[in-house]
Amino acid sequence: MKTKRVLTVQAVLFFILTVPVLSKAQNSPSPQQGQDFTLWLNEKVKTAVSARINQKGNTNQTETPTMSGNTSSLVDQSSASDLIGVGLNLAGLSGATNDKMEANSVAVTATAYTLYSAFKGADPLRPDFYNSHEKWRRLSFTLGYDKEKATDGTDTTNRATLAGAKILLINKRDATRHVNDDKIKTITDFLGKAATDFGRISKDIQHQIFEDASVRQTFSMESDFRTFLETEYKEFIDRRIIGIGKQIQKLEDERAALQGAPQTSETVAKLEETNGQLVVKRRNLDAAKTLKDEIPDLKGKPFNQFFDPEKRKDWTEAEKGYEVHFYNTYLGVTNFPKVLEALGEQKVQAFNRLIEEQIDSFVGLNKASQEAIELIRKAPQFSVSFQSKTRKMGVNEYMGEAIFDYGIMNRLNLTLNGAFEYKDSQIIGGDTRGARVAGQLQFQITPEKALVGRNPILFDVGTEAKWMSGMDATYKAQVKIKIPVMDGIDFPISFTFANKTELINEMDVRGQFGFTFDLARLGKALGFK
Amino acid sequence: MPVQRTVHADADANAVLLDVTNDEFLVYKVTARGAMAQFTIKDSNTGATVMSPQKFDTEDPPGTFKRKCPQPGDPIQDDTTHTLGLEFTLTPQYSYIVEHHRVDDSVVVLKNIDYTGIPGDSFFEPLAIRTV
Repeated sequence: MKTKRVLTVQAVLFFILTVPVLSKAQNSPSPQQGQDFTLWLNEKVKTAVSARINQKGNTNQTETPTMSGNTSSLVDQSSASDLIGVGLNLAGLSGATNDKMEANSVAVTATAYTLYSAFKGADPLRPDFYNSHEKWRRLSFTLGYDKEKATDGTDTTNRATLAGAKILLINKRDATRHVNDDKIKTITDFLGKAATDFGRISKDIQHQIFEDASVRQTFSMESDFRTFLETEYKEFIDRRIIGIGKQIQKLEDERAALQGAPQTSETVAKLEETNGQLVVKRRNLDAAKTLKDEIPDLKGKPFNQFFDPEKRKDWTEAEKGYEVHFYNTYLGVTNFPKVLEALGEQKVQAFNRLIEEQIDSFVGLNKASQEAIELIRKAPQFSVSFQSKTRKMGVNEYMGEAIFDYGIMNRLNLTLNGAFEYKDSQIIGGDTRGARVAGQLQFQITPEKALVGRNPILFDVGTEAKWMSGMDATYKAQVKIKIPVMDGIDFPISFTFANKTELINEMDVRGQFGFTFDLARLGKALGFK
Repeated sequence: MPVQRTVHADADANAVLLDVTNDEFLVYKVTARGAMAQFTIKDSNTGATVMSPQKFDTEDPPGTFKRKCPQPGDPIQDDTTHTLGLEFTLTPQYSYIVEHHRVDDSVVVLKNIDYTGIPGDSFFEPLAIRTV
């Protein structure tokens, strides 16, 4: 019964906080499943880039805060997810010496920016809104609970409410800061070169597909071309005849108006210009009518007299039109797999080599973007936070904390916490106060991969020392691995070793695991707009 | 996970026959959702920029860039490819619309596509162009 109630509360919290962010996505169609020419070529280029290079924010805290007794995190980090983060600790892993304290916890963290954009009804990812409200993303709020088993040996569980706020005072990781301008410009330059190269590769491969004998045979190009002449091409010419007719009518109306107006030098010049345009339009109309009259002749002409690859620039309108028709009809999701089949492995391998020969700009773009990401993520951040854990019965806990994050080197981030803690007991004289310091080194095990949506795998080593009045010092050490399940969902597992717990003077070893959700990233991964 | 590409209303043309002699034109529209738009549309024949966040006709609403092509003094090449290049490090979502304004005043939407990516992702969307 209690489990059901807990799940209901989790579902309500999740719903309330996610609906404003994801509501804009309701009518979006699903991402493309099949592979057309564009997706195929992008994939080929990525594969070639990956072969050449062998080889996200890492300080955005989505886990439950350290004040939660069930958190898988020993330190708090300086910033929160851009929109909403959900930390969920499902259960303890091990038979700790004091397993009666094992429990579950949930914490939802939302930035003030999320709330503000929802209040204003604004798209939180619109560039001008995002950039002009950076300060709103510095303030975040956390709300959640810890489910704690009673210490009296019974199976009773109590719930402690977690609440907190964090403000990011120093943020050197804002990508739009001027110190990042050079890196951004490098990305922009490589993007331009890569787009040009992609267009050249695309054009080259399309031409080769169009000229391939097997492809022509597969799609019966000769009869398809003759059908095209009778249908699409005829419609194309008819549309032109109608369109030019409208343009001529408009020019004749303008000319009549000019002829009826007082004859100034301006109207005379305009009249002359209009007459000139009319001559051109009438000539174009005659040409269009001639093209239409020539369709039967084109149909009777031998097919081998069309589409000379050496004279592409001189192709007739019918030839150009059919080439366009061919690309639109046969390079889409439905027919492109058949094109690849007709081409055969050897031809596809030749395309791969063609791509590899022109891959430099894509490699440069990939490297430039990775360098920019790493530069931004190494910059320092400093924040202060306030957290509370209140219970209906027992001790209420309050903590003020300073948090510092710094990228020591690529893939290695240092987090330091310094905190003052106050425990407000209902027993007279039972209040305790003290200090807590903690530090964590975070290693990014797997590289930042542009080609994969998941976060990298992170390995953390942390330590904490706590001195509370009237109690012996508590020391903890922790190892943690955070495994990405999919883009926006991570699975942290931690093992914590303590010289004692705050309640019992015995060594404690505890394992925790859970899930964290970064809803901005998750929404993107699911194709929400 | 690669860049997600969502096509609306089957508007995903690979090529267009543009009747420039009779004043047909294209209108490119790119919408960026994120901190800083990083996109470009390049002509494969000349390497010239057709549109970018620094080269556009209008930006309305903010983050939505539009450009008409060809423009006076900026002719369009025959047998070329205009390729949209997108970079997702500072912007996770883009939308791309290409309209073909035809000689009879009708408008055909050649492309209407949304893209979603993560930092470090890039994507390229080509459009082959033949002119008469």
